Amino acid sequence: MTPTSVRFLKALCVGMASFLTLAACGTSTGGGGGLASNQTLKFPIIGDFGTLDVGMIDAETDAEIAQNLYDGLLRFDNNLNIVPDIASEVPTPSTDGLTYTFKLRNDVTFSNGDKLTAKDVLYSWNRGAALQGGYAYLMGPIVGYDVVSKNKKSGAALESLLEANDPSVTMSGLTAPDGPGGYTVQVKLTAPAGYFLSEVALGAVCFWIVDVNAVKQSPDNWWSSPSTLIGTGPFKMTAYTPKQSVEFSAVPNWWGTPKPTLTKVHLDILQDAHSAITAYEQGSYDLYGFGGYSNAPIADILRIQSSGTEKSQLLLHPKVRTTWVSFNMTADSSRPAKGPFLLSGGQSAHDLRMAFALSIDKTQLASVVCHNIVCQPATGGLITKGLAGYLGDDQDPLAKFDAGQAKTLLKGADPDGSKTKGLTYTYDPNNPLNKDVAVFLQDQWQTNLGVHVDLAAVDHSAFIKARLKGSYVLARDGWQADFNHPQDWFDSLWGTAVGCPDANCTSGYTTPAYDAAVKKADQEPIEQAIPDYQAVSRMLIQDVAYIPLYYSVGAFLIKGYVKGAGTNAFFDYYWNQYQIQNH
Amino acid sequence: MATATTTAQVSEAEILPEQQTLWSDAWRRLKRNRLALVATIYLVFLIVVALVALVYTPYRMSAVGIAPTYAPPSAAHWFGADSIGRDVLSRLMVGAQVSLIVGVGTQLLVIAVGVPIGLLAGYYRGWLDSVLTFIINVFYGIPDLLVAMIMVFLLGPSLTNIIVAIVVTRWMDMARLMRGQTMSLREREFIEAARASGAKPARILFGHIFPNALGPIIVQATFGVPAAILFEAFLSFLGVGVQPPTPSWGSMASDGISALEYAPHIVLVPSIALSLTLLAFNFLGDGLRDALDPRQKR
Repeated sequence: MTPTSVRFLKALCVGMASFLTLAACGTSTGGGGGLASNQTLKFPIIGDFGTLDVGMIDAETDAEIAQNLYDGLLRFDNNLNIVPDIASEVPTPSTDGLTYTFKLRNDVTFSNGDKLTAKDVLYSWNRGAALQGGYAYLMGPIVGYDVVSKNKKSGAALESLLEANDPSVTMSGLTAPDGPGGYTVQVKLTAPAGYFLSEVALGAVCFWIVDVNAVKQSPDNWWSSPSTLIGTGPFKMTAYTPKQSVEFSAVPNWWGTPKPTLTKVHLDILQDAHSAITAYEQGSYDLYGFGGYSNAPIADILRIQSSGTEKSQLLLHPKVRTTWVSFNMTADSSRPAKGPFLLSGGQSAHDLRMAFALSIDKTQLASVVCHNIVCQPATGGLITKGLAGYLGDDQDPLAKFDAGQAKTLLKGADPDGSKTKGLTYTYDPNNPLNKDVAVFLQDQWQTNLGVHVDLAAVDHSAFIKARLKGSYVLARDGWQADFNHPQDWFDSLWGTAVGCPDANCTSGYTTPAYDAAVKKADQEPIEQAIPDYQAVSRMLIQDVAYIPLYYSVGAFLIKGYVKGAGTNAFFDYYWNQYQIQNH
Repeated sequence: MATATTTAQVSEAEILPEQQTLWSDAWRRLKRNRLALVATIYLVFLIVVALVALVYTPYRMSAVGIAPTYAPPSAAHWFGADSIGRDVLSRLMVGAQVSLIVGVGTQLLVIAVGVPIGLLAGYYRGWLDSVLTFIINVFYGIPDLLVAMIMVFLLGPSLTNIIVAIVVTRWMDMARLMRGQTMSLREREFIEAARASGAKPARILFGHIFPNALGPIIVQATFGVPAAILFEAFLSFLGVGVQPPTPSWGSMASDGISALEYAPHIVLVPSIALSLTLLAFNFLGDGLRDALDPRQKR
């Protein structure tokens, strides 16, 4: 080899080393300062939308997306304070607590340019009440809701009734004092409701505003087409391929603040959380866990925690979700499940429920199933730690583990084992945690009580429908708070207000005392209501209406160059706060 | 005189080859096939493991949290622990029972269903043969996985129902084999002799034809065992197989798939056990075919 060749080779080596060093720097996921020229945010969601029709949304996963497309009169900020949105200020209720007057901003426009006035609010709220979606009951305090809630019409027929202001779909307590083209909306309630403003601020449900001109173009499916999905939010849909992908773009000259920096948000609809995380790690996505899918497989979290490069991208944040085991507590003609845990079974059934509760080591569950990462033991009552109405650490006797007492109670309540023979615990395996929890419970009941419980896995949507019809003797149950008020828990899960024992009621639990206590607390201002709600919580404990298991922690992955992305206990931060920096 | 007779007997023994039955001859030939022999030893070991698991496993197979979750193989837990801290070895041992019950149980039922149908179709021929052959072909046309999954959904996911579901989708091979064997054997002289001596059809079918077709039946069943085990593992992998806490190799692999990068042993251990078992049954099947089929003498 000639000296020239050697020099050439040396130069080549140095060049390649420099190139590799530069290339390595280029793959850094940290923000390099300054905005990137491409402001397209990409992240996966696990499963397609149920709906983006605000009148029908009842899933967190849909709400998390929709909150960027629509607005309500009020909203929660990142710190969970109620702040004005379309309203120019947060209204103060009248002295009797029955009337709320909302002043609207006069510069609000829909993404198609239509101007928003009071008539849009009246239309959207009446439509939401008439559709009777999963969250329509939140409008229950408004005068006239009881009439509208009986509506059976939908689609074009409902649109005709709404256009004609038909009394069957018009809440009499909802008016526009300055006329439909004005900017004032007045709401009269049937009784004081300390939680009403929280409901109005709640994201992506029937209190949000839609454009009548867009809805009537396709009353049943307007939300699935970019041309008719029209809201007042900072983003609008630009493409949607069901079960594949969906794309949103920033609305030009949006009326609100902060103005979006992102120009485009691209979501891929995947089927599996593990694949989504792998794709994130390979650089296909900027975020993971957003859009309501923060249930990451524990193995992936452990792997990422042990990784030097990705550990800093992992965000673990408590979510306002409690998971528990429900019993079937009522047997009647409309509830197919019977079982040994009925309220009518008296002390014997009570002891049996208590035996099943005390035989589960909740601390071990959080350690074994969640690695103390994605959940923590639910020891402070039904309401998740950190929320109004939480009883305090270790204040829930049902969270205790006492195998000896459990066995004694079982022996007294079921001496020959006939009552606990052939029991089945039903769960939805879509969240991988649920299967591990089910197997854990099965082992605990077998080991600590000597009772074999079969496991049955049912797909999520079928599971929820069947559970709310009272089809299961023992079932996974849980609730994710919509807003920080105990009413959201106690009015939504038990008692005649939600439909118990025969509709929308997993356990069938309802007692006159429970109904009366909840009704009283609902009418009080929050400060005064908290002790009363806690008394309701203790009532459930006294009756062993549930077995507390754990409070959830969400897992999120955020590339270092995405600024402003994050979450609070309830929802992801709004997309108009995100920025993509150079990377 | 006595000496002459003895000499004659010795000479005859030296001249004539040793008289052997079909089975001893087959065993002699099987022993010469090293792969088949190793496979047999492995399967005997597997059966012993499955039997031992009836009375002993290192840990209770359903006990959660007895080891750190995702723990790698160690002295205390030879094959590590799974996602909720269960001992993988203990579950593997119990899983062997499931695999063997499914594999052998399925083939016994397949023989019970397929052999009589094949015998009837091959012996009587005519319209009965046409009808039975049509039914066999119809079953061949039905997608087996779909049928098995529907059956398990309808009947419930228990071990018995899984075996029934596999039998419903897998009996046709045995019936067709038996039909072919019967058609061939019914023309042989010893069958004609039996018929001439007044033997009834049932005696001819089960007393003469069936024993003479036993070799191919055993070979077919031996090949059917791994297919059934794999089918069960697949159903369990999809979540419609054996239900918790009973472990199946398929469900064990399924449980570990999301942790493949973090704790590969959870998938690898049952997968290797499954692969070795399938391989062993296939080698044994090959060996038996060679041993029982005189036309394939080496």
